[in-house]
Amino acid sequence: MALLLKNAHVVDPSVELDGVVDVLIDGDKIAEVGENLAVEGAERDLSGKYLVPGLVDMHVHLREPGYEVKEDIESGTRAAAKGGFTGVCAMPNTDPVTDNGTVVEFVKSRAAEVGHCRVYPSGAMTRGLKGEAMSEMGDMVAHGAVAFTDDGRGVQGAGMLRRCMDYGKMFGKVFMSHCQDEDLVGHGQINEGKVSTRLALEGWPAAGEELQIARDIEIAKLTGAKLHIQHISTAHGLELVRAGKAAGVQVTCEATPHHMFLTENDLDETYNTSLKVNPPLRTDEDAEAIRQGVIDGTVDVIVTDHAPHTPWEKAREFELAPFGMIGLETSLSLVLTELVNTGKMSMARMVELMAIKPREILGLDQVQVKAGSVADLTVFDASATWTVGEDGYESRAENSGFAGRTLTGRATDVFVGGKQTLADGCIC
Amino acid sequence: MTSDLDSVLPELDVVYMLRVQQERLEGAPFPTIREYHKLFGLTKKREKLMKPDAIICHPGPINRGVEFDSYMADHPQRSVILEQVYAGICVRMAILYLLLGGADNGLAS
Repeated sequence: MALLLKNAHVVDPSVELDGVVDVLIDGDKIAEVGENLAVEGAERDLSGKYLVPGLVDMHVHLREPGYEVKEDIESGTRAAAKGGFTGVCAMPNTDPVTDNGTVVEFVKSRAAEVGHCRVYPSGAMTRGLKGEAMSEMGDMVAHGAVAFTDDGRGVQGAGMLRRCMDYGKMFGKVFMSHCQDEDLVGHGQINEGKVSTRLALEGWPAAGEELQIARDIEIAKLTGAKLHIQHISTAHGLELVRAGKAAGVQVTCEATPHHMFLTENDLDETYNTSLKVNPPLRTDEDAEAIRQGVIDGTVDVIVTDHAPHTPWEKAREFELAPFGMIGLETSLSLVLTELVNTGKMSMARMVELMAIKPREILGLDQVQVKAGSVADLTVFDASATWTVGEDGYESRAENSGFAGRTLTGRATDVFVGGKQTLADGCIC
Repeated sequence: MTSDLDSVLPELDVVYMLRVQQERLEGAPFPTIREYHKLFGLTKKREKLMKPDAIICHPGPINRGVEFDSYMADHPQRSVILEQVYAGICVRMAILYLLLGGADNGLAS
């Protein structure tokens, strides 16, 4: 069944496309890309909209199995589709922990059954995320795991991390590090500084993150493993990654919209727990450095760290509320609003950050807007204005730190393997 | 050096397996015996990858279910492990004999 997408402005730097062309989808693939295509059959006019290779968010908590009260694979992938994503990488801090082939298989089969986008499971580096014994990485890869991470925690022992990398590097997958020295960070709640003092909240110092960024880069150098620094939040952390790259270490990093577009100064006496994230919102200077890194290429990927929680968990005292905010439904819109529509960053760079690089780092086949490629495509209206949260969320959770913000730009249509998952902003 | 046993098995004349020291699994460089066996165990399933005349060596003692399954460890055509053990005894006897002053003609000097 063929579908002709007419008149969209296609942006795909991997095939040097940046202009209005038609795209013909046939089955699960792109059959033809060109000007003034005409076919018998279904046709959709996308005048005024952008069409890009399907966006991938490589840092998402779908919470299933175990925490379906917060989110499940169905609701989480609905949120992904709504936000314009064709695929997400699911984090392994589930219950049971995704630290063996059986759970990887479960996540895949649930996604195949109820998913609204592709789900790429990641596997835990250590059993139970405890940092004590290696998990069966080979078995997980055999069952489809695309990366290893103890996300939510850093592997506290340098020797343990070294053993994981020495052993696991033969599988060619990336090791994704949540950088947090637990001894130093302790019960830190928000960035350590003036704001934490004023609000009388325990500080989460930047050094607690930077120490492990530096350490992990050294261990990647020692072992030759591929390292990816998750949700980088500080200016100095970014300098460490920049230096690691310059020294030839295989290191990449990611940044979230909340670390770019929110800071500790958004925290006030209302103690909004939706702004409690890990690592915490940092200073204005840090956020500016991360934005610059995104634009200049030091940051490789934009991710959400989509972390759904129930309203009653988040409604507790700040110290007792869990860390994390949702992000799948706002990520593209925030990047468009804050970086692209303001002229600070090109649309092509956004496609690199949100479609090309995530696939490259996870070792997935690239999607390109050309004949023969898999038809994973995202269509968005860069000028559509909407207010976050006014019509609720597709996610089961509501803990967005951007609620009430008016954004410009929103996904309208999404295709996964030629099958439409979002049509005119509605989940299919 | 490779960590992909299946990719090199078809080229090998001698497959020399080594024992994983199970008593030293604390801090081991691999996660579980199960995964080790799956990735690196010489099993009946892997025999079809081997050359028809390739032989199997091992210094012993062997761990069944770790680096071998019993089919391969005891393989009547391929496994030369018992011959290795027998030859090892002969060599050690000869070395001890010579070190203790034995003469080349087999007579005490």
